[in-house]
Amino acid sequence: MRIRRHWFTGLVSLAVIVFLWAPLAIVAVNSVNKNPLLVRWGGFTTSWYHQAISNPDVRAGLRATMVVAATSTLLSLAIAVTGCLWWRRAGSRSRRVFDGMTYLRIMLPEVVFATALFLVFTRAHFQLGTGAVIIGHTVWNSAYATLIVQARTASLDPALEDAAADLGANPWRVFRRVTLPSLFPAILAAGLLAFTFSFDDVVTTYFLNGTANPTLPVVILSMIRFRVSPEINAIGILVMLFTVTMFAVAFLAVSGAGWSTRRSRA
Amino acid sequence: MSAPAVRLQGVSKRFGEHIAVQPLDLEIPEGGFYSIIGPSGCGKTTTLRMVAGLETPDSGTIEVAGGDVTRTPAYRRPVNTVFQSYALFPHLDVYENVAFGLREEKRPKDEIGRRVGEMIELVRLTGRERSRPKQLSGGQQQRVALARALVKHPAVLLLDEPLGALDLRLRKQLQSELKDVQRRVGITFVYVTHDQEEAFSMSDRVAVMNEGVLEQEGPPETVYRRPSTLFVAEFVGMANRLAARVVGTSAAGYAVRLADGSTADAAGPDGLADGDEVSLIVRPENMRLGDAGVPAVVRAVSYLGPSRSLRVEAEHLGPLAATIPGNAGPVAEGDRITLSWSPADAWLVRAA
Repeated sequence: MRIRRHWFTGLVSLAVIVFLWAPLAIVAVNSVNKNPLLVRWGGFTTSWYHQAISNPDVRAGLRATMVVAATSTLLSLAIAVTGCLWWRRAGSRSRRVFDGMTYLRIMLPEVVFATALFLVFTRAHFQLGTGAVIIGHTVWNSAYATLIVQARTASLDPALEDAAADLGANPWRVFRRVTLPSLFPAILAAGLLAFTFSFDDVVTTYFLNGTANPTLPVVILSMIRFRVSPEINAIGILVMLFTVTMFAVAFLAVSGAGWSTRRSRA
Repeated sequence: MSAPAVRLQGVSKRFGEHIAVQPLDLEIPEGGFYSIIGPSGCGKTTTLRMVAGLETPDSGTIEVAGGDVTRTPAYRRPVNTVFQSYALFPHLDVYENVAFGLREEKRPKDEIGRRVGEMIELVRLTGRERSRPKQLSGGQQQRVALARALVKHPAVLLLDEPLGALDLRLRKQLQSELKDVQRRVGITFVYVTHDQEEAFSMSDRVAVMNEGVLEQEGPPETVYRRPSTLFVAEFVGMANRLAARVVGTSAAGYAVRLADGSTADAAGPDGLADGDEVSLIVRPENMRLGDAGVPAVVRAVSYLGPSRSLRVEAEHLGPLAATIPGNAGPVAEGDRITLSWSPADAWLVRAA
């Protein structure tokens, strides 16, 4: 049986595509547009890219972003993996509590956590800055990482770990040689996802950054508050390329495509 | 006499409310093929896992090759296991799966290479060293699991229904391979299965468990011909079971009176007294068509090639099964026949 398409559904879909892609297309075109006012096509140039890359604010922002994203990702992975290993042996009631806390960190608006942490940190005289931002990011990032790693832990065959112990591996070696490699695709995917989320975060960072070097998204935000420099288009495209690549790698890792080429030796 | 390969004394295990293994005493002699059989949930796998160190007994002691291992963690016990689902490491190839245990022992590289090579040859997988487990057939995976456990030269090899997932033809083939490997390496095999036929065909001795209790232990023929309980009699094969009462002794052992009032001679365990309620066990293949004996009406006949399987209804004694040679004269449904058996093939067990 063929399902007849109604013109209205087609129209909505088309509108979504247009509104989704048109701004991106405009940004992409303008990032190589020689006309500095961007009102018409003024010829091809890569100078906005050069300008973006050599802008000291952008460089500092990128450096801050990398530090925050990398640290918060590592923390989140450590929390996710240990949490999931505990979850596997936990009773059903403890599991529900654990799951509830994970979902809560994802569902509650980011601004709620950001405000709460801001109030606690200032009250406790904990210096706002990169450290505070990292903690703030880890709150929700660890929840996303947990969800991804958990799916894999749930399908992990406990017989594999029994077999490793039976063959003479002590608990640490079992983790190192069997559990961790089995979780590796999920850990990779969770790490890339967490890194990406942290990379483009504004809300938490804005609340908790204090006077430290702002991260790239915050730099961009303050740049467009002055005026929309054509340079922003170039930064936008670079960030987009980076994010898309990260997601693509994460997706491939989860779908197991990265598996067959990997050879593990202890 | 060397120490038994495995000795369990008063070993028990419960999971919450469920008692998996009642206090169990068991001695497994060294160097043979030993099977633990029983229906699912009888405690056989739990027993095996306690020997492996993957479960901790609630009471009792476990000795392996003369040493007490009750408190020894799995990774320091001189036993290795072939798991039911094989539990091959999916991220390692065949070679690395087999080498896993030796790498944990930190053996020199050339020794690992030599021993892994020998094992892979023993299980006839030469050429497949670089394959991943999922690229192998079920039978090949089973062989990798065997090689991986044997390469460590354990004092005892534990096998937990390793052929359960394979089709019948492959099972038969691997049964004889397993027996063959056991003879060649001389390591004690402890094999757990619910399939009594499989256990009988390979084992030097078998133990029958039911609901956490060891019902009987001995060579397959003894367990089959001289079962000590009704459960064993019926679990290890088809059994005709006739209610009877001991009335005296005979050349075969005892004389009993059957439900139809006739008397019969039968062998039985020591210690039965006149008046004891017993069940008389006769295997279908020990039933013979003859002139004298129990009159019965044939209810169904199935021709199996080498043999014919009959279901008959005996007056007063109820339904019976008989297996007669395929070349014995024609028997049809509704025929009136007479069945008999030799007193030596009749065995008494106490009525439950």
